[in-house]
Amino acid sequence: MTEKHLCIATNDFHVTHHQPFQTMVYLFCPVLISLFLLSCTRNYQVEQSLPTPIVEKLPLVSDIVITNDFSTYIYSKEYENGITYNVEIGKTQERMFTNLFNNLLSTVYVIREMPKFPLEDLKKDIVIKVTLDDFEVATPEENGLESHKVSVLYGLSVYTADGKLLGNWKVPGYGRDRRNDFLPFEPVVEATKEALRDAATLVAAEFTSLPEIQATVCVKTKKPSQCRK
Amino acid sequence: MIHVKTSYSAYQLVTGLWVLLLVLLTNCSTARIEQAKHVSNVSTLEEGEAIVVLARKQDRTNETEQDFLECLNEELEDVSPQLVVFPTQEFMDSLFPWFEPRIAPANPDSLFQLLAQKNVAKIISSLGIRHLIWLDGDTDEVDKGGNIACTVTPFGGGCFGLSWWDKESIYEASVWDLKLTQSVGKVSADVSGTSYMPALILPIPLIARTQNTACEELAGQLKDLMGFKK
Repeated sequence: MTEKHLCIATNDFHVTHHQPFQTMVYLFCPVLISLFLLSCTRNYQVEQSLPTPIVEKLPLVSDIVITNDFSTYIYSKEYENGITYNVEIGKTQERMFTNLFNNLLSTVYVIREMPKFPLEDLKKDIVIKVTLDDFEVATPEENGLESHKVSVLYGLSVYTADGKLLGNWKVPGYGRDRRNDFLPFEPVVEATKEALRDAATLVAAEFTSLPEIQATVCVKTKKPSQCRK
Repeated sequence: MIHVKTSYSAYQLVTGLWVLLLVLLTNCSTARIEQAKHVSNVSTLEEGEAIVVLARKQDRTNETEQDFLECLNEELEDVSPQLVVFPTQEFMDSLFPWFEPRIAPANPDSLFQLLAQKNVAKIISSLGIRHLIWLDGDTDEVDKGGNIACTVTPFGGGCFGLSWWDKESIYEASVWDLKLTQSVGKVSADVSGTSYMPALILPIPLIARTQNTACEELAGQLKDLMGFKK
């Protein structure tokens, strides 16, 4: 509303004065409004590529359920200072979990919705549903520190081929970055990357050691010697 | 009258110079350096062997600054052509996820348990990493005071006053030998200093570079600990 009034006021002023100036106002007013609106919204697209984890693959074939909501997720929140943060992490987190499980399990199929149990494909051992339970960005004004903080919380629900819930694991991740007054958008991206990497660390280091997953491997291989302690 | 006024200005100038001199003299850092060797004879690096410096981040409110890590890497690189400093991020990526802040080994015993994993040991060996240096600590502003006021008039402007702040840089580095699977030793640097900003028309910052001093001192001690001459 403020921008609109500004333009109308300027426009009225020009009618009684010079035509070239009026033309300039017509040209620049939309630009000024756009700049004003842009200054209130900050869009961040997070691109994160993680290294290949150094872990031994488990001999399991799995469906990974990654819904469309998950892969197109954009965090959006208006803060007290009037700035709206839009953080696009959907594609990155989809790629992160796909790559992670491709390196943890022998074969992985990405599907968009939960399959019907019991699974028709007898080669598949488990189904893993990945959910984003929480994502928060805390600005320096909020947390009283000199950095942006990002926290994520993922949920991993693992089912057997006949639909029995093996377990429900929560995977937190935290990231922060030093405030950068010259590049105000960078800290949020860096903190988000750190939070995603932190969550991926936990999955890479602990998923294959979970007792329920180990038990599934034992059942499949039928060789106690292949079961990890 | 004119004579009296001139004398007063000269007096001001001399006083100002004395104050400035005093400020310059007091603007220094004090450093306390400590070194503890855990082995009597530290074997020097062989050809093809490297060191890597990692920063601890478990305590996320006081984590070591990235620029301090870079400073220490640069200082160590300057020691001798024999000392190869492996890039930190490349090391962490090569061994993902085992040296990430969340799960990195906290003591030599857990590191050597990690090295029992064949894949991990193989990669560390292929990278030629001999010494792992764990860095901990940070720089904090512990106190500040004073005031500077600036004014602008149609005839000009300027700032007047004095501002000061105390900074303390406390860092510790532990050296682990991955080949001999033992802790080599520990060095620490505790540097504190006061920075001043007197303003007589123009503010003049007199910065006590505590972080930089701590970096140089710590690097010097690490060189000594690893058997390189300072």
